[in-house]
Amino acid sequence: MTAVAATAAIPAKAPRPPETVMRLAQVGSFHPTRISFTRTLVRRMARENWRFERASFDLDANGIGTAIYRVDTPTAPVWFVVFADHLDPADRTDRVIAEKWDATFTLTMREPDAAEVARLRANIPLQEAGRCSSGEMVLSRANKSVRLFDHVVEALASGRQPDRAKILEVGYLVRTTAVYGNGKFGLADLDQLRAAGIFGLPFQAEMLCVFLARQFSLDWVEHIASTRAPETFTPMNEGLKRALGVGNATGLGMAPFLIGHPKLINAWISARETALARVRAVTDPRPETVEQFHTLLDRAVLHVRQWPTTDALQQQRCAELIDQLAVLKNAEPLSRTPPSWDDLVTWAEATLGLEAQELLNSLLIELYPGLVDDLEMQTGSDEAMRVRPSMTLEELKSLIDRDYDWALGFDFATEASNARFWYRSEEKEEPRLGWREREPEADKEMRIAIARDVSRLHAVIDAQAPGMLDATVGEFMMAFPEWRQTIQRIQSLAGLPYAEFRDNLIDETCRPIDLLRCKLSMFGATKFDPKSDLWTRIAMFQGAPLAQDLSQDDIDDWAFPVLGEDTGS
Amino acid sequence: MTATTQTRVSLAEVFQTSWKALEGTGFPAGIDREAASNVTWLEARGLGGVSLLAREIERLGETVAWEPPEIDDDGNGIIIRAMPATGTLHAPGAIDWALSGNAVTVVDCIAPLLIVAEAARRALDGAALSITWGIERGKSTAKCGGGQAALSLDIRTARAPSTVTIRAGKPPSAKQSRHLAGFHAQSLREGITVDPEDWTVIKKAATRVLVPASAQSRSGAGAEVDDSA
Repeated sequence: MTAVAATAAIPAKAPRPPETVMRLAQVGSFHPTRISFTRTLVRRMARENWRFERASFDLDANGIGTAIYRVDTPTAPVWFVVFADHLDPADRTDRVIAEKWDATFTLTMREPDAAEVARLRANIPLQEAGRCSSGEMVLSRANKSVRLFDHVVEALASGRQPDRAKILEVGYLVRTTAVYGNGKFGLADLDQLRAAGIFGLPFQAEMLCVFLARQFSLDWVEHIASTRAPETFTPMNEGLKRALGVGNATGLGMAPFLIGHPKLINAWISARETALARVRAVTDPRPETVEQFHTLLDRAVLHVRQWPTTDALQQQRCAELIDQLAVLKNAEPLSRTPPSWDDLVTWAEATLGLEAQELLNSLLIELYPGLVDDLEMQTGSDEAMRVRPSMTLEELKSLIDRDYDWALGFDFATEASNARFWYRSEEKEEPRLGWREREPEADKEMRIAIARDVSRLHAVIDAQAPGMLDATVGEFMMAFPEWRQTIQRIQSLAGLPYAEFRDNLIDETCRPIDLLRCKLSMFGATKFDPKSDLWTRIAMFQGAPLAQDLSQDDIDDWAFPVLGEDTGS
Repeated sequence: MTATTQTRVSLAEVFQTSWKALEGTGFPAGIDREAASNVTWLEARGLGGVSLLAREIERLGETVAWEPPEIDDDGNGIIIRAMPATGTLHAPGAIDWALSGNAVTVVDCIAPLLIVAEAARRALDGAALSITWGIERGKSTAKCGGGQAALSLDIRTARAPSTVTIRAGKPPSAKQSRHLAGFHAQSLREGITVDPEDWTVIKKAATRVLVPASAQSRSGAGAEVDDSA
């Protein structure tokens, strides 16, 4: 196994080892934490006193038109430009292959004067088929959750608050289906974003875009309702607004991203595991912290009760989670004065399922902002991959034996362990998962099967004559250039314990949904609602303060968001 | 070419599209990524990476087959000969040898600027390389180190096939590397303009990695049907 070192200066237990953390079933049970990106962004916006202004809201009675929001950050202003359009129900799909949407967005560094709006108007609604410039940071789109959106319009127009049960059932007015950044379709490159000085951490620009999409969805629904019936219209209850987030429908695209950015993943998981290790080192929690633990645990139970899903397995997991949180409430380590968080985690690992274990971990991290919030600054990384050509084959083989023993344990001689292959479709390059024996295009397989490739490389090295083990990697790659990427990865990730998911991603039993949940939890997503093993819906920013409320005291108290009994009609 | 026919792209697009084009052309895994990085490095600094790659793709055809180059050690350094030697394929190997402490000569190398890009990207952590190429009428030189580069190009010959020599050297000073660094910063700020015909060649090659759409394929996306809830 790879040794995992605790960060110096702040006392910490040894972080959990990668052979525990980096299994798909484990990361597929993650819940967001206070260092997830949505939480980090909201704290930053409040701390730096960001100002939000609805600069233009030129929408007709049906909500069709253009809206512009200006956000003043301490570094520079940015603008969120929305184009709301009519969408025929037959054209409404969450698939990436869609070509029309209810609303399309961009987050831009360039002030949108009339000429700029005209340029954006000609491109942003086309999404992938349009062209962005280096002034735009994010490109996104969303569709209405028609059932809830229309209900809210009708309720507000007739002077009523929307039905609480319907709000709970869906949880958002609009659902994004793609949020693009990092140079795609001509957008600003990541290095340009960093150079501009506003967004230094991963996905902060994308999270701001989603936060503003939520704000727009609330303004949008009230605009339509108030225009339809100005005499009877009533604004939405602030508590209901806060309970509404933004939905997201996510498919397989996230999985190749995770495999293709192993150093970033290591940074994210390291921050999370270091946070947990620091909390586990707290030996004498204060009584008020223990009280807060129980308050949060009660809220978490309600949160899970309000977790809507039509997926049978997720329903079962939620039901078990509720039962196990009741067991946790009465766990023996909690009966001690003071309780030991480390003992509680150890108890949970022996007693509870993965969903409950990971929820407990998120809950404990929530208790100690002073211990963990600095870790949000450690969630970035470059993805530079460097070959070390002077390493000998013997040394490379030892490195594989040390860091990839988990990969060598799979038997790739079986059909089951090679059953799947990942590829890009010609339809917008959408990543898809095929069956190797049933589909003819396995020669176009994406390079995601890390375990298989490392195992094969190990076998190739083993097959070399004994004297060849003194040869350098550079010499080896002259004869076997096809192994360069695998060697580069192995060498570059040495010492990064959480860089690799320790499962076989082409096995017939592989569940990509676990990878999606891992990444989405890092973003801060909640209410995972799988639609298959390949596709999930989630909610973001549910419970988060609204833009105008960022100066309030409770801006950071929205872990495990719930809709209160006294909110709504 | 008029301004209206130009295509504006990001560096990320240059890298990703080039990588797929090289993968689709059959470059070995890893060589394709390094070559795409080299193309992007050149393009970001106004050195024509995209047009260079477009010519390489046209020259190589639909697939490239790796032939192990002939490697000799003449006592003064490593000599790499290939049929043909090209910066697209052989820059990674040449710089591997150079970073292992060898003087390296790549004989009759097509697209020598890609070797410069490879050296500039990888000469880090105290390593520095000096590169010379060109023909009798004019030599070009490059200093690479600390992730920076400074070039002295003979514009008549810098892009032409020639023998390339790579030796340990000194990194460029900040003043020497300022010109290319400034170009890179401008590319990030404004995006870069590429010849649409060159870009089309690369994008077409990139489609070779894509699988045609089919009903079976769509089931592999796992998407939902009811989208209105």
